[in-house]
Amino acid sequence: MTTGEIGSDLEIATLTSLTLPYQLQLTLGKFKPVIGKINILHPHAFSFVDFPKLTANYFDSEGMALEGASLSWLVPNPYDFYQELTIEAGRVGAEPNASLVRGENSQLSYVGHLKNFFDVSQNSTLEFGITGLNGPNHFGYSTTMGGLDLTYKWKPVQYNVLQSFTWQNELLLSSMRISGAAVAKTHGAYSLAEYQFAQRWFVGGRYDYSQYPDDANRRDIAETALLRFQPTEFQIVALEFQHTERNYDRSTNQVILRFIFGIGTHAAHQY
Amino acid sequence: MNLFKTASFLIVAFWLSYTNVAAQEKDSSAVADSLLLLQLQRSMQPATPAVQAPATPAPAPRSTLSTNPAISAIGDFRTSYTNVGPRKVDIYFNQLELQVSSVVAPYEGLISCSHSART
Repeated sequence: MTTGEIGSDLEIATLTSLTLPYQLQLTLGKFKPVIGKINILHPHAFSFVDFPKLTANYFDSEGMALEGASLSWLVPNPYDFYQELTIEAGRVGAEPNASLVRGENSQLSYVGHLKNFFDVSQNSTLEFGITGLNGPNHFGYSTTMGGLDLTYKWKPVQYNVLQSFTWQNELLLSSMRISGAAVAKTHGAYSLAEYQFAQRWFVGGRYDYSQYPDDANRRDIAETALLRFQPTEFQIVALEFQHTERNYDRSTNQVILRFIFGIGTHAAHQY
Repeated sequence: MNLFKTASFLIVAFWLSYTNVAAQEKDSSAVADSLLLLQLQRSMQPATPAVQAPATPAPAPRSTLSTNPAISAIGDFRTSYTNVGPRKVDIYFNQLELQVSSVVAPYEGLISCSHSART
């Protein structure tokens, strides 16, 4: 529920190298770590109005930020496909999330991600990623997570701006030590599909299943439908309906209408 | 006698005018012939461009590194309905994202700042 108060925070601030040798790239500052596909996105860059339940339940409504260093390496391989290994270390931002906190001792949070990107055909690509994560949690112990992501994109050359299709999936497994003897083992996942049927029109659907990192007995299941209209590059109008079932609270139906508008030159987002 | 002079004058005048016209006709045909000859010579020469076209330049990059920062603002306005809770209908300005990005120094680094305000 909104409060009407206006707060502000520094979402990201990074310094990125451009010319390191051996196909390395170093980023310093506050950034969104590479945890699957969703966490690196800004909210306006995501097709749906809200992030998946997995992101909201395990991190924050808009994911998680890290203050530290990120080193990525384009792995040379003989099979001629895009492979990128990213290693990140730092402390969680000022806003603690459900899985990780800044910590009171010298323990840092670590994220590793391996991205594999293939050209299936002239019109389609397949991406497969593996994520590992470890860091201090708010119980004073550690949380360890592992994740998989799989994305298929189809964008026919002859209908470049008129048709496209995306199928994206993520799975996150969590092991959170909550006391000396108890470990909460939970998981969450989502699967979304989006189809562009005209130059400015998109439809999509998403299925969410997510537990909570410290409680395997609570879970959310959500089904979401989306209609999106993009009049220009600088405007998006999205209408979303979401039905959420909770085994610890009432189920909800929600309709959200979102207007996004932008001015100026905005840096490109990752493909 | 006068008749003889008059006739001689007319003959000389006629001859002069004839030779003049003949000369003119000869000159005009010569010009025409010269033009035809020039045209023929040109047609027989190998085709060469009148002006040498410059070599095709390398394609310019779509964007270049610039220390002039790119600045953008993105607003996110929402209205919603939910079947649970006291405030079923809501309308609010969710977020404003300001972003500045630029090259710090050529070949050295890129800085990107993003600042959000929420309600």
